[in-house]
Amino acid sequence: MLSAAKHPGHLIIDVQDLTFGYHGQPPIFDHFTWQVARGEAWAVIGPSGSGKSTLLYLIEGLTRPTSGVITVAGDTVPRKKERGKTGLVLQDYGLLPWATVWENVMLGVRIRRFYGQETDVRHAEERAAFWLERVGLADQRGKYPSQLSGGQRQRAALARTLAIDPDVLLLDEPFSALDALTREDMQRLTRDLRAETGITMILVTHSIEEAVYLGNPILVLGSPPTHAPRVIANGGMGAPGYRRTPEFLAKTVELRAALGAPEVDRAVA
Amino acid sequence: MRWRDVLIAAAVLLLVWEAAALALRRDILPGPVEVIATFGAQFPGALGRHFFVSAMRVVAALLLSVAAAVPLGLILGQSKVVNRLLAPVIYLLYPIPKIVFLPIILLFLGIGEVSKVFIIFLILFFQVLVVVRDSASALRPELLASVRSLGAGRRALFRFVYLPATVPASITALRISVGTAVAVLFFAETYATTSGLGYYIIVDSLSRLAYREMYAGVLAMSLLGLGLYLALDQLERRLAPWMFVS
Repeated sequence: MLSAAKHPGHLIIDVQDLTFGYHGQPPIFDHFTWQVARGEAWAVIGPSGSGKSTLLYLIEGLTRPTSGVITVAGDTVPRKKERGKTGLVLQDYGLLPWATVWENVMLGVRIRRFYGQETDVRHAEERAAFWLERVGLADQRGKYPSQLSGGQRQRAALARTLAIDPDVLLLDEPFSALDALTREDMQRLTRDLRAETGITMILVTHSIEEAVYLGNPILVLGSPPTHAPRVIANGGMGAPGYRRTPEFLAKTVELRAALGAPEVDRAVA
Repeated sequence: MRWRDVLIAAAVLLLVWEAAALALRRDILPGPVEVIATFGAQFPGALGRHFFVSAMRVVAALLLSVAAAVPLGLILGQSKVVNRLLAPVIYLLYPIPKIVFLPIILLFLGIGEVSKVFIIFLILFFQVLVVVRDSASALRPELLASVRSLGAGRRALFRFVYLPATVPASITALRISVGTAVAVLFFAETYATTSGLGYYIIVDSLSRLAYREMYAGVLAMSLLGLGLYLALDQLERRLAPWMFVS
């Protein structure tokens, strides 16, 4: 049921010479080249306006670059041959309010069928049921999104994305609307899901702790325009109890410095 | 709301009516028993025929307004350019009480079925158009982005997002405006026609001072409005169950 990492180490996302700016504004990315290998779990962090969400929208193909080429698994985005295979989960959940949890989780499958890309419906239904169970919502399948808590909605959104067996998972500040405990719960779930599937993941976050907990490597974006990626390795990521180790703390300090934060808190830390 | 409560309310209204008729003791206010008896006697004949004609006019206008307003509303809701062109026109036409166009419609479309259906169509069309346009343009960009990330192009967005988002809203618009539509129909049917409940009530009954028949006609018209309202209410519950969950 779990899709193992196919050819780990091979290139899956290729951002070549990307230039992009919103209409009438200076570019956010200027001849930016960045590559993601299959199975990597990137975190992207940076201040507001640094283009971290924009980068995800560009990779998804929802926003067109001014110039440059982005390919995912060899296809130029948006991927019309493999619809939905670049999964995207937003902070806002994006669930259809008029559809039940189950209908929402099956939405990607139905869209693929609409384009003639999902032929084995029973298998797809099994996969959707598997992910619904895995995120702990099997008993909520008949409910509407308005009847779910924020955490449950985000679980449903994750299950919906995973149900079409994507090869890339893009997460755009997925947990920032959740309360602290639910957020930690969702971070653990995300870590586990990634470990189980080996899926390539890019997590955009404004939380230093979240970036260090879930990302290795970490892409740091500064004030635009960004010309070249600034990358911080985070080898300890994924180790059991990482959040409570001195290495974790040291990494957050390093990342905070990379983001240009004043170091006055060092004594407290 | 429970059916039992609705029936009790209906019984109370009938009792008030009966009491008023007993107190007044004049033939211009027959009691409900007499009127319902007349209704029962007349409905298999002339009254039923006029009821059917009026009902068909409203239903035809309902279907036509949905068929015309939903696609146009969807286009306006999706395309900023088209909306910018047409929004001022709609802004001007929407608040005009469409009944004032009746003489013009009669001049152009004649006194037959077409003019009756068209005036109701006009009322419902603008109501549905505005609701569909607004609910389509109110869809959050994040929702559209997530559905597009699941692989949806323009056609799939239409099928899986825009249509389900706007059809129930248009039924709500119909339910709210169907009362006005029936009222306008009543008025239109008192002009230059020989069929429909408006004709039956005003031309056929009132002018003959046939009060019981007139009241039976008023009852029929009320039942037509109520029936359409309830039917649309049920349709709304069927098509938009998520709006009724706690």
